[in-house]
Amino acid sequence: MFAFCVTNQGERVHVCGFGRVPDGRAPDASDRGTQEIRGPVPGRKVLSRKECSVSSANFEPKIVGFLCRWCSYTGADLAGTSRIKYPPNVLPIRVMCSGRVDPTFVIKALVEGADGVLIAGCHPGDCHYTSGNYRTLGRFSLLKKLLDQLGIENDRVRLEWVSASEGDRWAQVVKDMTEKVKKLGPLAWKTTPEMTARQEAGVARG
Amino acid sequence: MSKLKLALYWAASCGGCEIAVLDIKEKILDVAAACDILFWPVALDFKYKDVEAMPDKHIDVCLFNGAIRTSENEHLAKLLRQKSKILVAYGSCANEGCIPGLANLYSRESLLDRVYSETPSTDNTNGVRPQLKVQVPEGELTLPAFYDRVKTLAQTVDVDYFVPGCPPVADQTWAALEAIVTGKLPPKGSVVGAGDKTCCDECDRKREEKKIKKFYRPWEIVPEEEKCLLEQGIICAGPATRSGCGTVCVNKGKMPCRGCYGPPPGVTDQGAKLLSALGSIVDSNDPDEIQRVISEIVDPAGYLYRFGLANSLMQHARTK
Repeated sequence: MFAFCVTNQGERVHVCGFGRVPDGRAPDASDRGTQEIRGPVPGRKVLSRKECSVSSANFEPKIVGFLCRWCSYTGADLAGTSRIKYPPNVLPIRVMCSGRVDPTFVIKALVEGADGVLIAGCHPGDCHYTSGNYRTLGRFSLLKKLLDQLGIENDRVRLEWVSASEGDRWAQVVKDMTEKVKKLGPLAWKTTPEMTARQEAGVARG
Repeated sequence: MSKLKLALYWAASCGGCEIAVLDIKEKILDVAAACDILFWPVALDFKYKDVEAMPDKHIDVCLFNGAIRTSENEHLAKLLRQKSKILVAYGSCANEGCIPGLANLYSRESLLDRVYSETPSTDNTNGVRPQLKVQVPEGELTLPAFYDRVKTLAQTVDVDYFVPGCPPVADQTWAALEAIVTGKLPPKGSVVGAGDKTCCDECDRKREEKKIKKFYRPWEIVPEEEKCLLEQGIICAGPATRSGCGTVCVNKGKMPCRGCYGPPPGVTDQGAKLLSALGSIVDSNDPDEIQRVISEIVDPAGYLYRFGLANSLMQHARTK
């Protein structure tokens, strides 16, 4: 499910995270995390993710999560089945191993509208593929140094070890990261669709 | 048969690509025999107004080197695109920003402050800055505008072919020119004058397994001649760089590759790929040790994006 915003005649109402609203009814803050918008909502304008993230007063960060299939995704799932309440700001993407996370994914997420990126994997020593998470750690350490030089604040990109039994911990990590990114405000990476198109034209050659 | 009408231009560049064209040595006479050079500021006395006076698509091929830093660079890029049938981004600056592109790590204001006030040997107590226009007794003088960011040629105009390298090596320059002169060109948008693998594929050094305990700067150790430099802890961008240069730096110069031929085919962001490679070769299962070894790499942005910052996913640092 995608995160998106819907305006109600000019007034911006955030239905970010995994929102659903029955046709015809104006969504409001209480709808967050409960219902799905099916098709175009009559009389409502759907904003792009970028437009949504730039509004100030009710800023809800969009955090892209890369969760390893064996430990972290299972741990996040446990948080769900345990019905633990936690912010819906992380968009989880399951990968087989945290070592699959190419730094390109992180940078692309930030450039394309994410306010933060959370990578989650098995604890050191417990990687299902033995050493994948050591690769993750090495790459992540270097990536943090790079991002610091590029002006991305420290709290926006984070690596956490979450095991399959740590549903509580997952919820806590998401809560903590959401708060920190909220304080930082939108990343609002200054790339216009025009620049993205030119960028893609420049790199699409083979 | 009429001669091929050729133009060469330099935007924000060091001039090395101009020399690189001459580096084909006596073959330059073949080029002169087959081509009429209509515009080449570094070597011939044609003016911008000569180009402006040409009909559209009058020039058959334009080799454009240099990045787009100022309004003059942009104007010539657009003008030469209009007047040329084939526009070639020649050299790393035009392809991916190259060294001028590193300015994208800083804001325009901080660049001007550094150059005009902060450098140790500058005495500019009045804070003088260049202006776009000034009146003098003889009339009005103008300067091109200095843009916020460096852009590549393809981010400014439509480009037909890409010849990478800083500079492109002589053999590849000749190969590209020959393809142009004989008309045997690949589909539009292709990279010409380069291979389709990574530099490691062409390298003579022996590669076994990449696992290191420490990263070394090139001056810190005397590396073994036969062994892969990265396996000895010296950062080499070979794994993330397109082949085609003949590995002159590593095999003849005995120095690590720095990535001037740009990303290999299929790679969007060369720096991120090199980062991924370097981050994954630490020989340790101890998280603290891994982090410590990685922390020894100084200036990742400058190393990973030395040539390709302007053409990377981020294109520039996030500055005020």
